[in-house]
Amino acid sequence: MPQLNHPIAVTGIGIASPLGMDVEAFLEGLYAGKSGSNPSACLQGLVSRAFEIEDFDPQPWLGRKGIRALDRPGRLLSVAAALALRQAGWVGDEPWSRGVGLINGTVFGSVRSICAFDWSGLEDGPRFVNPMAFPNTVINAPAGQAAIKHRLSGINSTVSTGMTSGLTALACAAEHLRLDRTSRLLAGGCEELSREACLGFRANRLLSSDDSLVPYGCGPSGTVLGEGSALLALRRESDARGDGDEIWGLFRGYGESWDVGLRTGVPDVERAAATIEDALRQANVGPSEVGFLVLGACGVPAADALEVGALKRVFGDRLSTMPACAPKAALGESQGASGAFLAAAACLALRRKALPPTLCWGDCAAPLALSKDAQPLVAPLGLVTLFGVDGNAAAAVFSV
Amino acid sequence: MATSEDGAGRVAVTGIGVVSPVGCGRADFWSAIVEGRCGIGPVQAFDTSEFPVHIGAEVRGFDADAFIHRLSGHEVGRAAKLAIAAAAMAIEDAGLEPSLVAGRLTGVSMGTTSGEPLYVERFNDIRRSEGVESVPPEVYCGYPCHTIAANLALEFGCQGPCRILPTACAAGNYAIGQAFDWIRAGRVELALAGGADAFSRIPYLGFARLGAIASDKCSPFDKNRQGMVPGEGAGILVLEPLERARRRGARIYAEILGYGLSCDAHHMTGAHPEGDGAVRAMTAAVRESGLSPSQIDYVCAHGTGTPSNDRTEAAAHGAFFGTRSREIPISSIKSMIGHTMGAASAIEAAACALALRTGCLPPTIHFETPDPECDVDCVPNAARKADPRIVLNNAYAFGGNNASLCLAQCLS
Repeated sequence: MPQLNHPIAVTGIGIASPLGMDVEAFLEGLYAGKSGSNPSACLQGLVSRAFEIEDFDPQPWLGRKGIRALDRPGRLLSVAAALALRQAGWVGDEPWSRGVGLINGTVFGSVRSICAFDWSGLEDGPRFVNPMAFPNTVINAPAGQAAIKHRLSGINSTVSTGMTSGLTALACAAEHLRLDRTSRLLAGGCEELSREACLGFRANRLLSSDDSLVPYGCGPSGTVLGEGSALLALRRESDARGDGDEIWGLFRGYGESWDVGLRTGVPDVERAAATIEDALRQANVGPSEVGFLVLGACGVPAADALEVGALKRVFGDRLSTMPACAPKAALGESQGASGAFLAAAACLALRRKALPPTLCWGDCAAPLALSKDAQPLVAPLGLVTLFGVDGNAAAAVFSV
Repeated sequence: MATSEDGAGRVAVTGIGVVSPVGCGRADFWSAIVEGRCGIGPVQAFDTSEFPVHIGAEVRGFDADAFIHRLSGHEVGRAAKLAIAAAAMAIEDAGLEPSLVAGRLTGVSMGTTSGEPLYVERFNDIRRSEGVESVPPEVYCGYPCHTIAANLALEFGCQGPCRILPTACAAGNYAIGQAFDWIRAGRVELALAGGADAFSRIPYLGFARLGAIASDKCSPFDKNRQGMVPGEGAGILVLEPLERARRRGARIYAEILGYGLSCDAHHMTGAHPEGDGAVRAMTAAVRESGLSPSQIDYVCAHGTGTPSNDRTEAAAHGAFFGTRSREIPISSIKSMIGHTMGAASAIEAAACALALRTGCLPPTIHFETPDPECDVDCVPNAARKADPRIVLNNAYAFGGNNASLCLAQCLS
């Protein structure tokens, strides 16, 4: 019987991030106040630093066979899938194994693969282009590759809502699970570092001038690109409890908006606040029940200011008492992956009963209660917010 | 999923907008389909002299800009323009005032294969001729595929959920399915759902290098079929709750009953040889619709015209329908409009809705020689009067993404 607001349980998390591979390394790095920033090989000459996964080698998780055909996003997503499947115990040959699916949120799929394919046509001429490079030019290639690698023959989808794609994927998964279409889905996001994206951010004046990502900097300020993949193993709560699964958190509500004014240049705080209120309403909770905040601030003043404005509108004076963290200071702006990283951080905060520290923040953070230390939660129910520079906005509620 | 007589929880198709290589607008598109007209011809968008093939299915002589008002003068990609034009036509076709389309209770659910690849072309062309510093900022902003859905929402003032599912050549079905879910959940009261893709040298090059493109025509299920023909277009359906459609006296083309998704998890470009994923998608669609295979009257095929797709699809058809498989016609309009990529299954869903409403099955044209490996009734060469009650629309994509959509006649 489909239950349209049934909570969705997170029963495992797989992560490939600049802070480390797998959720344990991610958790350790986040709570130790580690930064995933490093001198980027990929973006050399464009920027000095980025949040790159250095020396990324998928072999320990994917083996050696069949890796060559995968581009970087295909590898990142496949590794995150391997880790999530293992965490959730979705390995082996159970009757339900065939029905496991995957939903990937991404901005580009792989803009590098697409650009390179077209470039080779121009430089080498159509006759000499490698046909084997074509499959990776479709935006759903990473999801397809991960499915082949791990024999995920259930629902397979790719969704894009720009910067919020990694959270939208969770909402898509929740919709399928609540409608009883399937009982197990991996959902999250994946994005690689690319010169193409970096050039785009630079041309649109979104990059930090000193390669540092300072959430809520008042300007001139900007962001620093990152990469990675995170997948959450999702089930209906009743199924997870019935089977005695370990539950990392419950995904209770979601709000989304394709433009809160950043695209049109006229910030719409009301609409931004409504995005948060939609998530709370779906979760059937009021603002006073939210015990912590995981914020998607990326260092671009317009986006970060809108986030603060929306939070003030929803929480009023209470806002300064709510423990908050801004993980992009440690992870960078990883576009389609970022929403999934934030969701993972929220689940980890519930598990650890403490919010991770924030590496740094600017003067426009007031009145947010950010801290360089871990903070206890006021209540085991948290709000994730993500206001993308492309105008997309999303909010999600997680609880125990 | 049980349906109820009073319309509660049921989803109606009340408007159709199509931009296609054989005609634009519901009426012109459908009369072309019924007449068996072919929209495939020599490629005009770029020079194909270095390619092994030279035909494509482009949208010609169509001024999409005439349909764009709020976004007029703004930087908008071609796929989005085709989508906006199709949506404008669908909204008018649905008899809806534009003011009713705006607001938080209207969702936009789109699908695409390539997004806005012309920006990649421009990026690379400028890099080669002038250097990367000369690439203007709007090229970067215009490229990400979510801008197709966002531009559609911006043009019509839709403020509900707005997502794009870039699931390649099955994307149209995915998008229509997502909108169907939103309406049933009461999330939106109206949805613009479908898919769009623009003609581009990038996928053309890819399919050409795979040897997948036919040299003179697209002849699905024919023994001597040579391959697919890349195309472009947009298909948008207006979806709304059946009870609301009835209340306002809307023309109801069809009802969406359900859909099924599966993944081959086998190969990136080649389908599972026994069509296993395809069978599972059809099974899921039919089950969710509360039906059995015996109730399906017609299948709108993916039918790209490649030797392998059609063989696999025919095998899946046989496996799914069993002894009845020759009694269930399965035709491919890609024989006429080519492969419009992310728009394909949306345009094909429109064709399904029109088949249900008008009692006419679209043909598979260019059919000359039956193929014993494709033992199906493909409605060869001429449209056929029939009384389909329930139909399946199938789509199969790179990455092994399979999607089947179930539509039914709706006697309002």
